[in-house]
Amino acid sequence: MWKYVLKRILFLIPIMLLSSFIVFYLMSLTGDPAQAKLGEDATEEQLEMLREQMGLNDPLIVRYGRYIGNVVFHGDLGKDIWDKSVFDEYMARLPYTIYLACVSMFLTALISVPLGIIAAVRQNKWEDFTLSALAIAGMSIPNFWLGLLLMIKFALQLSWLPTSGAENGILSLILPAFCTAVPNAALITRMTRSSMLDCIRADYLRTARAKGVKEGRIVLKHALGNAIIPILTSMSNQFAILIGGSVVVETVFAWPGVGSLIINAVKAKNTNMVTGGIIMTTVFVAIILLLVDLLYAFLDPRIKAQYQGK
Amino acid sequence: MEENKDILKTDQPEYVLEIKDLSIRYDTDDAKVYAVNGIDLKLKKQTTLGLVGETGAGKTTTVLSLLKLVPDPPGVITGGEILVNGNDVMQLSKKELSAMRGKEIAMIFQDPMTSLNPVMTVGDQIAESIMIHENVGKEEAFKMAQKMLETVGISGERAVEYPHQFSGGMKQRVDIAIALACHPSILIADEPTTALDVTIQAQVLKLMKDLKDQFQTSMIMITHDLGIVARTCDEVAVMYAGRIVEEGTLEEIFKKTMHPYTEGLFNSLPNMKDRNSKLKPIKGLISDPTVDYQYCAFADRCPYATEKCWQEVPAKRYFSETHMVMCSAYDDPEFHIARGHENG
Repeated sequence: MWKYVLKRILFLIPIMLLSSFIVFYLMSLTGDPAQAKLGEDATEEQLEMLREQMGLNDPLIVRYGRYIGNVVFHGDLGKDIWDKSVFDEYMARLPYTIYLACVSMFLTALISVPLGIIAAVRQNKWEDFTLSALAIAGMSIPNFWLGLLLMIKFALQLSWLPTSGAENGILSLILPAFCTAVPNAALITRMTRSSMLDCIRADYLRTARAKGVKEGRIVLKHALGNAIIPILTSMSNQFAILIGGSVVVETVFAWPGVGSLIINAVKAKNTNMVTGGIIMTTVFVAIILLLVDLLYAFLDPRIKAQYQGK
Repeated sequence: MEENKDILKTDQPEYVLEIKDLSIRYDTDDAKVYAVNGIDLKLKKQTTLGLVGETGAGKTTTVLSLLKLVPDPPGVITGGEILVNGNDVMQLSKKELSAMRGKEIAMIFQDPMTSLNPVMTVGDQIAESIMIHENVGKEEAFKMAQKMLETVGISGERAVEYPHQFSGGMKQRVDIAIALACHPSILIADEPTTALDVTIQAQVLKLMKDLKDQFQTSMIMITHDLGIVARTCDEVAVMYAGRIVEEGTLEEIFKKTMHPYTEGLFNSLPNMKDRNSKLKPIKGLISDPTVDYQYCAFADRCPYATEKCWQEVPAKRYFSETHMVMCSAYDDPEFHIARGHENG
């Protein structure tokens, strides 16, 4: 088991190198950081001096080597164009993103798993059809539009919730968390339904019924216990994406998370911020996916056996 | 779960199981499937009844209905009565049904590879049944489960292992342990050895027979293997197209075979005395289950069929107290099938 964990952690290294290089290369194509820093009025000499100072005249691979060396050996993601530490800036925003992602995932699970179970148990009945229609609607409604509608209703008309920002704690979080949860919950409802249907037809449920197990326990223990694994895979992927920042929803609700940090950095050609932010996101996503893989081992003894090489 | 105890009648009638005129139909979008068409069956205490017939004859549907486990929809029980130790299964409440399943009737399924829950330890799966039916706590149930595992020849220490850690034959032993955990009065085995290796088959059959004697259980053995019937059964019922066409003691069915279909089954066995002889399969295909036969469903495959066979459902005819045959050919007192008369 620990060997597997170590292997997975070591595997992170090439992933990090590759993804950071891709980002670094793409950002080098987007323009001149010196120009971005000094603005339109800078003279050619000033720019040339700054480029020399920032090491921008070296070949790409040298610049990348210098950058990644700093990251690896000094844990330093460098400074952005306003001389602020990229790492500090990122870490200042990260709690907001984690906060939003956790609440959003919690809502997703809370809504979608029970609904998916109902849809499966009541297959081809009106409950199932209604939930299918809702799920399709949930997946198709654009996030920002739903956000704006909810904002008009609950913030402007009813004044129950703040329109945007993060100043009101959990109240500020409700609308953005709900907006990010809707498409995810719609997808997971459908997944739970189909995964449960596979299990509901399984022979071992007939065995359980033949033992006299009551229907509630049949569904929740025997069927869901087996159906939960693919559901968890999808939810962990969704969570990983949320940790990368929900750009659209964060923008609509002016939520100060990682997504809006990076999108603003892209707009400002703030190269180091974008690169550093994406590297950090990659690390967190990889860690989450590793944790989920480990969680499988506890849920499914067959996977555990694989890890142990049995 | 203790409230499940003692809510069923316990006075013991002569038969542990009585099926009266049972009919089951599957209503699918495309067609109506007539799976079971008015069968009568009785099971005496501590006897083993073999239910024999081709795939699709309605054997599994019949026994699933005893536990009210016929999937509904599409399955509909269209008529009849099932009495388990005097309790009418159709009239049982959900609670009574849960108390009956596993305690009065238990079932061993065909494919041990898929009939165990892959994410529960085998010990928990056996203990689950014990906790439902006996008034014991979790720990004690688990200990009883371990003992049960040892009864079926698996070390009690392996109770903490999961199904994927067992071989097919071992899994079938676990299935048997689950079924017998609460000492049911009726054990149904639905082709329990079909999915197993031939060498394992004999072991599992012997185990079932021994345990059946030990626990004084009555048994219904579903199979299409007449060899298994000969080794394990006291009585035999032959099913064709949802009807029992011949029924009798093991000796009556094997030595005094009367129904042309039963004869066909015997003829399609390999001949041990003359190994060069070809198998004689029953010609034609199994009857179409979407047809509601108002005549003998076997008529178009039957070498003895007369015009009468196409006109009405044959009546039940008793040749002894136990030997029932459903065949119109016996209207002619001179009629006999070829089997048993080859030399005379």
